[in-house]
Amino acid sequence: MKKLSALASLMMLATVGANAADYTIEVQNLTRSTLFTPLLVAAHSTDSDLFSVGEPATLALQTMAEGGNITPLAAEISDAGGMIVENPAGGLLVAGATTTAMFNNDAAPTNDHLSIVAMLLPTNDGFVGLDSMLLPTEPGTYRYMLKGYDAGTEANNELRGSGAPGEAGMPVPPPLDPLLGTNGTGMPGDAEGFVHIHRGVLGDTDSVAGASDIDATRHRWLNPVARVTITVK
Amino acid sequence: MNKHYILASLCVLSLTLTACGSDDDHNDTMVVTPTPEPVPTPTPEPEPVFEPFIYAVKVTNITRGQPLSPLAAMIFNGEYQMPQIGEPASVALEVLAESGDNSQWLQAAMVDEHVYMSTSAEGGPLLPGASTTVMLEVDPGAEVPADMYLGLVSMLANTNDGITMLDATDLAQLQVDESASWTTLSYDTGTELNSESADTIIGPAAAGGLQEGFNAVRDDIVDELRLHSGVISYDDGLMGSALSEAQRFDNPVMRVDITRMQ
Repeated sequence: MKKLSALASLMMLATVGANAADYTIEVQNLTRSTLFTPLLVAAHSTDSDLFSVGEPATLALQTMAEGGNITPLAAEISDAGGMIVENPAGGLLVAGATTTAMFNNDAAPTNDHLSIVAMLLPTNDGFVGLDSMLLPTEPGTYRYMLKGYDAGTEANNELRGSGAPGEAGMPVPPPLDPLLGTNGTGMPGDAEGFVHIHRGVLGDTDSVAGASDIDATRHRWLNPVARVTITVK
Repeated sequence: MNKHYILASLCVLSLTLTACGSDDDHNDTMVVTPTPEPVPTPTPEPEPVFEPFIYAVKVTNITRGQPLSPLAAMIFNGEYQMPQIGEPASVALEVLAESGDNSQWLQAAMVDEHVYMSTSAEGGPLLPGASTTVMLEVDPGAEVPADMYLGLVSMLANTNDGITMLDATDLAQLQVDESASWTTLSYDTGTELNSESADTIIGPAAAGGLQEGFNAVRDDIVDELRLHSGVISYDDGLMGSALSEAQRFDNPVMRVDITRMQ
């Protein structure tokens, strides 16, 4: 009996080991002119995740979604034994551009789920997300489309402001600065309280007044917002 | 009735066997006369001929207010690339995206060595809610293609330069009588500013304006193919827009049902 169970364990180990692989993860920003802040690409077990749709955002998710800071989320995944690739694009991933992250989970085959996040700019607390997808293990190329989510932690006032969690408004990195309007009075509404599919931004066509600092002719988007191409070797 | 039929079949079978037997007997008694050595001549292998691949491609316009220009459909190998996000549009794509005229696009496809076949859907624009079916045939002749992909492209007529596109979709897994379905996204070719004005949009929503089609000037905010951000419309605050809220759209915009007929 003991021998049998030992054998069974060995076989299970072999199976798990066989499912690990070399992964190349390409992320392309498909939007017309929305920026992705530094991406977090994480391979992890079913014990952790980056966000849960329908649930209130964690502080770590809020910190990423309102200001683009992925450090707290990355630390959570690392502490739980997951693998992370931080900021593969080395900064903002502009519209149309592609970046690549690579990892191998041979040494930690239980890290068989993939999650990806980055803040969408200009938004108040919008982010592109892939939520805990089981990684394919058959060698080949796989494509997925990602949607934009709203973390639900900040009112979508569409005004220049802060990237700190809990502070109103949108962070404005230098490339975005000349493209945004000023002196908006603010879109109405409150923080929604739960993670959900983003309904998009409205913007307006007045660059020096109006309700929104977002340019409606430039920064609207429809889902999907990103394409992920996974190559398994 | 059934019994009679079986009996008849048996009779035919036995007759055939008998006939064969007598044939063999005949061969045994045949006189073989010596023939001169044949001169070796290169005899060409008979070329195998394969049945054509035939696909019925049904497309449905699933928008509220965006007529789709006549569909350009093509089947190609793995070397051919449909327009890619992040790259500038070709002039042929620009013409299609701004005027709905797919003739240059199809002309380019016809002379491309990687394209097996290309065609346009017949008739005029495909109206919202309407469907049309295009039959696509690839005649492989002596060699079955190693890979075949389907590509579709059509203009969203009530936009400045919006298109919908089915990127290279693998046909290889589709067996005869099998079907597969996809939906397609909307793209902005980035070749014309999205003013939404009646002077720059060809679709019926711009009736009364100049409705200019192709213009070689590229004045959009970026000269690259991207996913479409949707139209704003006059109803949502864009002064000068010829579009009402009814021309707004979301993804997906077209449904594609492919059936392999042969």
